[in-house]
Amino acid sequence: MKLFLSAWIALATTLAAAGLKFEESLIEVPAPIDAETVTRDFKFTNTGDTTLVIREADAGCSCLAVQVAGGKLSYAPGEIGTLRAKFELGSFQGTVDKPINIWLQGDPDEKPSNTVTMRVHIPQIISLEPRTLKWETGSEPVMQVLEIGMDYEKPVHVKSVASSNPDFEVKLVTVEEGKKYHVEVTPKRTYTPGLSIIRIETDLEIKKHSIQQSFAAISPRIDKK
Amino acid sequence: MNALAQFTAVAGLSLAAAGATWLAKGRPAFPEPKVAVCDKALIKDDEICPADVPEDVLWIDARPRPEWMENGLEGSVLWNLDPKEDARVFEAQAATRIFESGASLVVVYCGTEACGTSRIIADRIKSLNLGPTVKILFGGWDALRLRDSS
Repeated sequence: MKLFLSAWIALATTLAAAGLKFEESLIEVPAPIDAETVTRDFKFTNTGDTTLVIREADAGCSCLAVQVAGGKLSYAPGEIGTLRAKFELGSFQGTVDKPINIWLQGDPDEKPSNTVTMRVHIPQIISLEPRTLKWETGSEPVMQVLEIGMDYEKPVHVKSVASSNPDFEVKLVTVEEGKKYHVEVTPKRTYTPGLSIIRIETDLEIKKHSIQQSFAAISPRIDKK
Repeated sequence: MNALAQFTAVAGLSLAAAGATWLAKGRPAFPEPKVAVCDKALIKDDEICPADVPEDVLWIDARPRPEWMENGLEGSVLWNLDPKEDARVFEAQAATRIFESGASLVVVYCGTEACGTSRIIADRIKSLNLGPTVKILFGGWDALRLRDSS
């Protein structure tokens, strides 16, 4: 009886551990600068002893469409399949990690059997540093600098800079034509809190990235205890 | 009795029972969401349990716009990754609300625990360096629904 029980537990453990095995759990994708979408395949194998059925594969984002190749959802032991992920770049920049969850038949909703990740690297053509310039209320309304850098095969020129809040003055300074610019930001006063969105318009030919924004904020002073 | 007749009889009886239950008890209730228990000791550093979210929080809803419009939390700000939406507008609206509300905590939620969108949005908010602490709601919208119904 004990032997039978041990054998049964061993078998059950083996079956529980088996499932879909993905060749890669993370795929890194360098996105071309002007691409609208990027697509990658995640290959998997049913390493178990029973047929597995994919109930759902979802990335929880309208930016990433996930399909099982050929619409095939049932996989016999040893059978190989492909999960195709298509990422819509939109106005993304930098590195974006999107997990894709795969539920098999019988998985609880809160615990998918597998999770794979598509990591998309989208070139950042225009960099802004810092993203928010800060002053405290009551501080000296000194000028601060927002640095703009261009990383592109052609020169990218700043066409205009504007502040959404008239209490902040902005002045564009060219450091290196087509490559590097400064925006000098000066609050007219700092005795009340205020926020400005600084809009930077460039002549970058990739329209979705041609306009950028940064922030300038006068925040209430927090007295240290 | 052959197999087909047996199947028909069983299916017919089951359907009749289900129909009677429907008539007697009415339409079935919306199923309770299944959410893993939030254990403070096990969650990631950038996550927060629904029970630990204070009143004066600023919520960021990372779900698709129709879902936010249908049942987004009162005062929440929409910011999702839908490529058809304008990410700059989301960023500007969120920054303005964070600044105006003076909230010291911003919590981002998406649809489910498995959804990864809220972490991307939370990272973007952090990169703005506007001041408040930014956390991701463990369990997402499902956990909120469960918390509010209990």
